[in-house]
Amino acid sequence: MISAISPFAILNAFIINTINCIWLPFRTVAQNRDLFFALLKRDFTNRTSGTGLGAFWLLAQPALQVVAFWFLLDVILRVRFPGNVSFLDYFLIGMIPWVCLSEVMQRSVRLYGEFASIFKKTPFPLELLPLLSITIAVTIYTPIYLIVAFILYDFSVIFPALIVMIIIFLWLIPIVYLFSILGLFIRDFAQVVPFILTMSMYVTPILYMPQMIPEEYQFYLAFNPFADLIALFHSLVENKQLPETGITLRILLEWLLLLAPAWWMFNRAKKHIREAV
Amino acid sequence: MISISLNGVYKHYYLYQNNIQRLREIITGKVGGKLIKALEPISLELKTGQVLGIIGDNGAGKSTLLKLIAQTSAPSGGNLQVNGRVAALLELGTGFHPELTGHENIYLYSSILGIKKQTMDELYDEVVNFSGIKNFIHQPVKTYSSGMFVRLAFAVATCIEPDILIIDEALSVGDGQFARKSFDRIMQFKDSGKTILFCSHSMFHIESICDRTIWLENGKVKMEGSPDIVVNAYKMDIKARTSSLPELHKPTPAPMLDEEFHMVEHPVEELATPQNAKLATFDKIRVYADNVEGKKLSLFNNQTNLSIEASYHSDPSIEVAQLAIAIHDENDHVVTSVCTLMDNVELCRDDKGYTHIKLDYPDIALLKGRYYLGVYLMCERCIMVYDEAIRYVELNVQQSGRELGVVSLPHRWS
Repeated sequence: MISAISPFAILNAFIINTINCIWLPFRTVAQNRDLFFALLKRDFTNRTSGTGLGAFWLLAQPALQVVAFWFLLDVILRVRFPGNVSFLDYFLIGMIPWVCLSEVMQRSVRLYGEFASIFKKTPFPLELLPLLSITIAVTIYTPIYLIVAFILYDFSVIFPALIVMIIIFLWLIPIVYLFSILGLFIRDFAQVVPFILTMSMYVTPILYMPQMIPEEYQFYLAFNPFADLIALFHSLVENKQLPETGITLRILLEWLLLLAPAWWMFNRAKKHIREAV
Repeated sequence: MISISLNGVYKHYYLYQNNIQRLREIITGKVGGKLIKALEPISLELKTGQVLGIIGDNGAGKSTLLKLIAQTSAPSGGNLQVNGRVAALLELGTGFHPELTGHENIYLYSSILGIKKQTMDELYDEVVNFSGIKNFIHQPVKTYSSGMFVRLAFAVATCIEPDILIIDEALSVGDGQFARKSFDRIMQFKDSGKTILFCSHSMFHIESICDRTIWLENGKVKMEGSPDIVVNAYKMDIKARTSSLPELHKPTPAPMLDEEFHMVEHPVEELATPQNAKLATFDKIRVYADNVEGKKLSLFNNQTNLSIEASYHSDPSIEVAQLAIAIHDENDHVVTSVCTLMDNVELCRDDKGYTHIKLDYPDIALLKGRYYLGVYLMCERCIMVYDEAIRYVELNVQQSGRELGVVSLPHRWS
């Protein structure tokens, strides 16, 4: 098998897997719309069932998290930003997308374990779950984000804020397909991801502005994909334009390069999933 | 029309110590772990309307084959084609979510099977009515009793108008009325010409409902053909295996040879509610040997008249129950049996639902030995058992001559 690989074949496989990773998840959803919506509904029911406040918690959970950070940083520590930027404005524009991103990634490593009872002994389309988990989070955070952006600015930011959520959706696709497999087969991976995400939040300019990092360290932000994403979100919502080309290109390139390996991995692991959970 | 076609379909899998090993295989493509050949390449074609019975010992690959056809397990190779919607009565209720209500689970489960919401809207009432748990349908299924759970699962699986039905082990689920209802439903599928795959340890059921039978052994098809021939060969094989082995090394008991007439219970079974569990019950059974009544009778070959009187009650809502009588030897092999259905006996039921019937064996032809008489109440097709009296009477037969065997047949020398 190894001997048959030529550079052309690899490139060919790479392109096919890249296209498949974008196209096939959506096709699966289209073919199983009713199932997809039933599961979406189930997820919301699950999150709210048995609670007194019901759907309120969907909004309250992230909101309370945001309030806690705001209280710590703005009220107690009195963090002041250069150039008269309001802490709260800056913080919220980056924090809400981050909460959404990290929630999906945290869930992704346990995704197949979580749904095992449903798919293990049924002809369930396994491609559906990663996209489902992304859709759930984006559905919850999009209205929150749009409303917050509207309150902070005006109507004109609604559209850029929507673009941010769409970018999150697309950016997460290869990540979730990859993480869901790695998390299933490597238990340590599932253990370490939440920790890495927590650490990432502190090294990413969410609670502070990139300009506040000592100059000699700013260079390292280029190696943090989350820093690029947060910069992109800020630029889109605050300035309604793309950030510097380097950032945009890096995000695009990293995403494009990840699609093929993610799909390749998922596809090969698919028939093992039912036996591994 | 071809309903199911398997062309060299096989299922091999590897046992891994951990998932990391598995991941290594996924990435490098190099297989590791211990190879298990669950099913060797098998080719099979099933036409619409055929009923295929699958027999074999535990671990022979029966369930693997059913799972492949139910598409809950992917074949390792070969070409598998299934034309039509499959209802699999395998491990009923998997795919249900405990937090969701019955109503929501109906939709969730049917959507996993690929049924459109509009289609399900039309079938919904039927599912709920059939399951008989209308009052609980908006409760989370975690509050259901196991019986309610099975009923709902069975209702969803069979109300979706499947083209192919997969049955593992039992021809009915639940208890009492529902067992009867689910049995009727399955028979209805058979009568309306659906393709059925039926896997069972009950050779009696295999012979009763199948058109074709395959016998699997160690993942391979050992024999294929009409049920009576295959079942017989399988029985002979079990007999040979159990008798050739020394006592100490007997394998797991010969699969159900002794349970010819038993309804094999479904693993997920409702806790029986004794009052209404049985649709028909024995009231009285009396066995006489030349007017001597008893539970232990002495008989004389070709002289004693053996007669059995039975009275039983059957629920007026069902057709009158049929009576079957079997004589077993000490190893529980059936020596002979009779049934009111096969003999076309017209059964009368009085206003209260009681039936009285008498069977005579004049000059009993049994040869020397100890036998047991069992009496069974069965459905009008003689497949489902309502009530039974196993080893009800012991018969000790004596003879004057030295003929060998179990029975003396009518004969003439010339």
